[in-house]
Amino acid sequence: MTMVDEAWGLEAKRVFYRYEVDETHKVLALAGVDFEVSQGEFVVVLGPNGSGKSTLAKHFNALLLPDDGDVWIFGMNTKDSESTWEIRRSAGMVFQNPDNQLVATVVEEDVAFGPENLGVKPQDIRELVANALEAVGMEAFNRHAPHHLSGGQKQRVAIAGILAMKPKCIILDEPTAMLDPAGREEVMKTIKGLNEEMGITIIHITHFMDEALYADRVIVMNEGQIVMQGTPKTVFGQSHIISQIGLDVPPVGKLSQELCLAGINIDPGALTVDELVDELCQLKSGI
Amino acid sequence: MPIEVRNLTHTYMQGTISEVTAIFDINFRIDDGEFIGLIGATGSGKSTLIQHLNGLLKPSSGTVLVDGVDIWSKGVSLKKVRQKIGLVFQYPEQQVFEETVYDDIAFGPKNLGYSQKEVEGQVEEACELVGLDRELLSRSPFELSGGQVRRVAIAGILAIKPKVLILDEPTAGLDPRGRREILDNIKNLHETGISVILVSHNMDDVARLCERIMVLDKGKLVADGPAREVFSQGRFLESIDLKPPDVTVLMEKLRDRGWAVRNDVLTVEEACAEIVKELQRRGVAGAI
Repeated sequence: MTMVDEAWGLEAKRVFYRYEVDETHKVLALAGVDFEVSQGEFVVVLGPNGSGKSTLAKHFNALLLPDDGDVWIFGMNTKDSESTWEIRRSAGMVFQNPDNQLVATVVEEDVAFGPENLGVKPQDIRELVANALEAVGMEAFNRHAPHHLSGGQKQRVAIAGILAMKPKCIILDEPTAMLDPAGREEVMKTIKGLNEEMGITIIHITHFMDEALYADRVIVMNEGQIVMQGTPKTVFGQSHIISQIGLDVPPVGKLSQELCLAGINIDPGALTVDELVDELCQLKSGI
Repeated sequence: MPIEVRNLTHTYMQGTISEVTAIFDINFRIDDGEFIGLIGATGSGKSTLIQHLNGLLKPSSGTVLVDGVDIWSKGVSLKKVRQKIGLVFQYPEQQVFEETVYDDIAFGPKNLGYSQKEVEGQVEEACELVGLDRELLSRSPFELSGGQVRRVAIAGILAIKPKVLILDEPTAGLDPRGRREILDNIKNLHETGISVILVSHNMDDVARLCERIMVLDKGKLVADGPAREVFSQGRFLESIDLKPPDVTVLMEKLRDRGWAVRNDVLTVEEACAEIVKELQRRGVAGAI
């Protein structure tokens, strides 16, 4: 039986997955991943190339099924093929290259594609599309051609296309990788807004360490396993592990840590410019 | 091999209804051995500009001089210009096409008519320069990781022995380690005497590596100078949709709160030293 149960959130239980390289050789992409996401959480997944981030993401959308273990999306097991469409509707996915995701020649037609496929009535589609475009701040572009939009705008349209299917969760696999800094900020603020205002669960995969600062919880993957998780502060506080697996602490975080090492009495976990400025300005002159 | 650009303007689809001027009246000179960062928001004209430097685009007006010679004047071989000024495009992994890594890197020198032996030598040398394992030469480029394919693409350009290397977003889409490795490669290449022009959205990288920064905004060259000077103009950069490095922004905010710190720091180390100095001056508890 297919039914969305919000109380459940998303859950991966001892998930193993192997990719076939050729007939003789397989690569273990996920090596027993246990992972739970509660409804309404904003989770950022970090990890070097080949650490299994994208493979894990595709499991949450039933694009891949575990070789071993189970993935539950709002109470539905991804192995239950009858639930596949309901899983994909409730946990939509946005990919890296915006040009590969937009299919129609007009923005609002592109956003309507999902609900049309779900068999929603035309008059309802109109409302869904309008609301979705408004939620990502693209309502003024409804009649535009997608290929004339900037990268950040295209990704917001792709997100609106997911929103029009009324998902509980959006999984974003490096949606900002091909964007410039302004476009990146545009996309990050959009998904933060969806999370805060509409309670949509976000799983965001990225190589940009500073994007982890938007998260409630950061997951760090390496060699098919989750090696660390916690608030951005806890995760980046363990800078030796971060650099060991080839990731970076964001520059301001690094500066806070270096200032502490130099004997300055501030929180070594300050990660943003404003946090560190406040920390420094609170220091009292003692002598 | 100095490059000089004079009054360079490029208009796409000139004379049609969709005419767009992408770069407008640009002037600069690049001397041997410089390391330049070219920054600007998407659509500011960066890609259009760099494609003029090796004759892939022809100016609508103005001139591009390489070694003092207008590359579009009669009798100049554009093939030779492109050999001297190598251009690595964005997402070069979309441009590898040969069956093996070796063939891909050898494509340029082969086309330029080098003997097989010379080609071998140049492929070898190029691999060395970008730190590419020789064992990979017989593999298909499609089996490599993102960072490795980038290095194959850069090696392919280096194999034609350019004097100037232009890279358009060479680290886009790579993970932090891949990014660091490519940037280290580029830094080493610069140290061998090649001039480098790095087009990048990553201000932290550009601030750390480049000596001179050129800033494009809506097709115009709006700033050109030492990295320290350009990045200390935080508010100006923000006004044209660029973001100065975080440490520079931090120093600016401390100055707003009355701190006597420099606003032209470019790295975490410099910022740390500067803050410690100011805390000592203030006699703040906890400061050493």
